[in-house]
This record gives sequence, C-alpha cells and structure tokens, in this order.
Amino acid sequence: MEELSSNFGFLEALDRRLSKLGKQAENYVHSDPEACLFKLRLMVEMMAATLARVTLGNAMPAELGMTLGELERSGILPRHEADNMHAIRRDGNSAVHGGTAPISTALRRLRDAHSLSRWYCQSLTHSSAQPEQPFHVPTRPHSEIGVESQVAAAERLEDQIADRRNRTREALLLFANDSERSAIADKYRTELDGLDSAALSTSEPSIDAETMALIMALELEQLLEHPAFGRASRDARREAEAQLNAVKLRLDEQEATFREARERLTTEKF
Amino acid sequence: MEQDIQRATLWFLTARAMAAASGAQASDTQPSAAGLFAQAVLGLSEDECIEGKSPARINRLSLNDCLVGVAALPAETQEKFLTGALMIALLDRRMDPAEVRWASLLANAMRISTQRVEECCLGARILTDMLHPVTRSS
Repeated sequence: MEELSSNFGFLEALDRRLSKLGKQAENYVHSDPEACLFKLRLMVEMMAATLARVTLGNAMPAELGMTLGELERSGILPRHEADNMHAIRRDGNSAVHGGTAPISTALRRLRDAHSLSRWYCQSLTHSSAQPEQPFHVPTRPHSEIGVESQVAAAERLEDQIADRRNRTREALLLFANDSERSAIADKYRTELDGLDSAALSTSEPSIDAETMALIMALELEQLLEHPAFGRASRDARREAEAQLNAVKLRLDEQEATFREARERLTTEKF
Repeated sequence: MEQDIQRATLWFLTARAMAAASGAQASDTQPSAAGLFAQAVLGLSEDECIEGKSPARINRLSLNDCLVGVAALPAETQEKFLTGALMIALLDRRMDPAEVRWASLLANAMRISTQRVEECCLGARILTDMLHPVTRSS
C-alpha cells in the first residue's frame, strides 16, 4: 500500500519501528479501521515496553494494562497520556478480538497516538524543545452517499464513549487533579499535625507498627500459610477477589456495550 | 442515595488524609485504588463516588469531622474504612510514621479492638498485593 504523508515522520529519528507502525495505522484508518487500531495498540505496547525497560528495569508486568498501571503509579506516565494509552489498548484489544469499529474510533485513537508520540519523544530525549506537530487528518480516499451522516453519528457515539470513560476514571481518582491534590494535601497535613499533638497527650497509638512491619515483610504466600494470620488472610483474599472481580466485570460489560454500539453503527444503513 | 453519598464523602476524606500523610510523592503512586475500593468493598456507585468527593461536599469537612463521622459508622463499615485507609498507606510497600498516626487516630475514634485492627491490616495487605502485584524495591 502506498504510504501517505505521515503524522509520525518525526518519530523516525527516535524509533523507526514506531514511525512505521504510525504510518501503517494512518494508511489503514479509512480502509480498515480495525487494522489501524491493531497497529496503534502495537505502538503503545512498544512505547510502554521501552519506558518500562528504561525506568522499571526487570520489574515489568507481562500484561500491557498492568505495565501502564505500573508506569502511572511510578509517576512516569502522566494521567492524560495514561488515559490515551488505555483508550488505544482497549479499542485495539477489541479490534484484535474481532470487534468492528467505525472510522471515527480509529481516527480518534490515531490522534491520541500522535499526541502520545510527541510526549514519548520528549520523555525519552528529555527535551521540551520538540516542536509542535499539528495533526493532519488523513484524507478520505473517496466519498460515498450517506458517509457524512454516518460520520456524524459515529462522532456522537465516540463523544458519549469518551464521556463515559472519563466519568469512570473520575470516580476512581482520589483527587481531581494535581493542583487539587497539592492544595488539599497541604491542608490535611496541617490538620494532621494538630490532631497528632492532641492525640499524643491523651492516648497511645492503636496501630502496632511492628505487627504492620511483620505483615509487610512476609511474602503473600507466607502470609497465607502463617500460623497466626493464615486463615484470616485466606478469607480476606477470597473476599477481596470476589469484590474486585465484580467491579472488573462491570467495567468489562461497559466496554462490551461500547463495542456493540460501534458494531451497530457500522452495520446501520444511512 | 444521600446516605451513600455521605459515606462516599467520608471515605474519600479518610483516604485523602492518608494520602496526605504519605507525603506528596506517595500520593502520586496509586490514583485509582481509593475509587476501586469504594466501589468494590464499600459498594458505592460511580455517581456516588463523584458526588461524594465534589468540592461542595468534601471541602467543607475537617479531619476532625472525619473522625466524628467514622466514629458514628456501623462496626462493619468502620472496619472496611480502616482496611481501606491502611491499604492506601501500604501501596508503596511501607508505612510512614505519619500514616501510622492517622490510622491510629481512626482506630481510636472507631474504638476498634486490637485483634480487629490486625485483621484490617491483613485485609489491607491482601488488597495491596491484588491491586499492586509488582514487587518494587521501594
């Protein structure tokens, strides 16, 4: 397939494979959105693997979602970039597993990948001098009757999906943003100091730091077999597994409804 | 619904205080654990979580209000709150003195027994491992 003028040419100097994947994704965006999403997911996987190798050493999880989580927790991956990577991961996974996607989905993820690529270059080269790279929407090869209304419907659907995912994310976060976190943490630290002073004069702490240290020092398997803590630990793990799986299942179901809505849209007559 | 939103406010206040006790850097490490805990363990919905930590609700409360609030919770919910707070503290695989003090303040306010505190610690450790399974040198 002939390659178009690329949004990802600037990656060439840093990583030729990434640049190539970006160009391939562009080439597929109108003709084969699922292939585009697959290529973008590979891009994200390669970016995450490189970031993890550079920053986390050998402690890299096998699964992409966990790698992204680890990079985010380590402060390497900012929230906005993490959201973009997760969106590409989810939609790429769906494409890999046979899900269909409208062109709008692929275009949005392509735009996300372009923005990510710029951040990635800056992060790896420790340079903020990377010039702004405007995103050019790859030209649609030809227009068909009904395409415009389908694009409009797909855009509306993608807006809804983005809103829903943002809301899910918002519900999970402890603080809305960095500035809120900073201001609130300062306020609470001051209050904690005051409460500490009052508490120290009245009572002993109830948390035994030595027990905490012991519990943390044991490997999980040791903890589960420990004569004193074993049974309670096993019960706690069973319960926690069930609870976390229930949330995971709900989130998976939410993603499944997005896939179904996209599939309906791609088969609908306009 | 309103009662659940109030519970969400109280939970996020408890968790934020623990994150503050962890120091600025530690509070960066696990942005979604508190919300996941709220939904998985406390049974709160996404909407309740979002409304519960809206500035209009959460910012008018002090940590003293938080201690008064947790003291009034049913015993089972209290233990969940303490488990969750300890989980937030343990996500970086260590517990700083300020985190121990906030956990102790919570436990004292809840009038929770030493044995139950120990069970909460175990529960927190289990959750920490499930949410953050990669062993890190930190």
